[in-house]
Amino acid sequence: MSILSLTKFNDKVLRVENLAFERNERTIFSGVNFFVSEGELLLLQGRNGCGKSTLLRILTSLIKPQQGLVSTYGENIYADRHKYLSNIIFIGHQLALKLALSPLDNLYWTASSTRERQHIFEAMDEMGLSSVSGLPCYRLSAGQLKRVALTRLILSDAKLWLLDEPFSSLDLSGVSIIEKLIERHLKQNGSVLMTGHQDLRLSNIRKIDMTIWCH
Amino acid sequence: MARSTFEATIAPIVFMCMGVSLIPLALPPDSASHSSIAPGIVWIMVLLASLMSLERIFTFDYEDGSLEQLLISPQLLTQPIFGKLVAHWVMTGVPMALASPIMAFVLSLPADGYIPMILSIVIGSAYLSLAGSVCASLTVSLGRGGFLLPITVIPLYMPIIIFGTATIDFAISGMDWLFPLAVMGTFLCLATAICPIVVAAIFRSTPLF
Repeated sequence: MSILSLTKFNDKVLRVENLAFERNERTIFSGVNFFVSEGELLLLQGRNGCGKSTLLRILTSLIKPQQGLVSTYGENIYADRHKYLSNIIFIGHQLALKLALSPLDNLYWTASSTRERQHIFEAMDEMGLSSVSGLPCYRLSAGQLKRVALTRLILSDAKLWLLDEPFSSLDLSGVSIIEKLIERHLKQNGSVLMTGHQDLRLSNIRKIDMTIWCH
Repeated sequence: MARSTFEATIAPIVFMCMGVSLIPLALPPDSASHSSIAPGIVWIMVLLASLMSLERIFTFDYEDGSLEQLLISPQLLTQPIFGKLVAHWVMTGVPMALASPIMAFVLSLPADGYIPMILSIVIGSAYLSLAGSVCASLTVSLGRGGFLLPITVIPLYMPIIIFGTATIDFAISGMDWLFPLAVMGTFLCLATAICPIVVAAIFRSTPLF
């Protein structure tokens, strides 16, 4: 029994057990349990302020929870943090773009160093950004900036994508581009954990409503 | 945006030159009394100008999410932090050293003091950026315009104002000014070795978000 169940237990890209978090002596959420498998998209839903972004930050190891365990393939993410971090990409509400630089320069310093400039051009073309690649970012609209930040998904090798409301401020064509990216990533056995309020036109989605854990 | 970056870079130097140009107006009009206090005035202005720019090292990165991405990137944190500090010194300390002859002229500093002054500001401002970054990293999540940063950073700045002033004083009075400059160099070496590691440890261990 043991070996079989152990491998089954350890094959999850991400497993969260009994997680609790409090801020300023107020419990934001507690008893959080879920997992993300390979090739699967988990959509976290819930009302505003129920701690979706905080939960994502905990999963990136930026915040330490007061209670509970976050593990990847059966191993605590803090055990080999370097290995875990090289396997994830997180894109939140703050886009980490320098407004004085062009999209190209921004992507150049955040994308991993092995990438060629040509590769970044191709990725930006896929995101519909080829016409603005040389403009400084302060000339770009909110939606275009979001697209620039999301271009990192194409340039990254990470298996697990942690996306905090990736569709906010995107137009319809932007949404469908991201949906395509996610679909391709899932087909390559990657995993996505995202928050959002929209319904997606994708298969292999599991939805979790965070309200059950909120206080 | 490009304009605001430019303004933020040039602001400490403008502040420094304006402050110094007011000093002779407030003092008795003989150049002898000016030149005796000139080393002190120059270094106080360098210190205050450096304090002004200190907040910018990490606050912008904290606000736009770059710091967050830096913390979750699978690489050593000390290297990019050291790079940021070198950049900060090049953008603030070096221009201050280049602008300092203007201040020295306004305060009628004797000619012997010019070279030691420039050298002491080049070395001293690098120390100010490094030591200041420790306090800047501690207070980054408190937002801009806080008073905690100046309060915590002033004790770290004290040795530099003592030896920086001494370098110029020694040069004016014909003594060997390389000695206080060497002490400043020692402080700089220590800070270079320790500060990036301390800042990285602070970012890793404090709850920023």
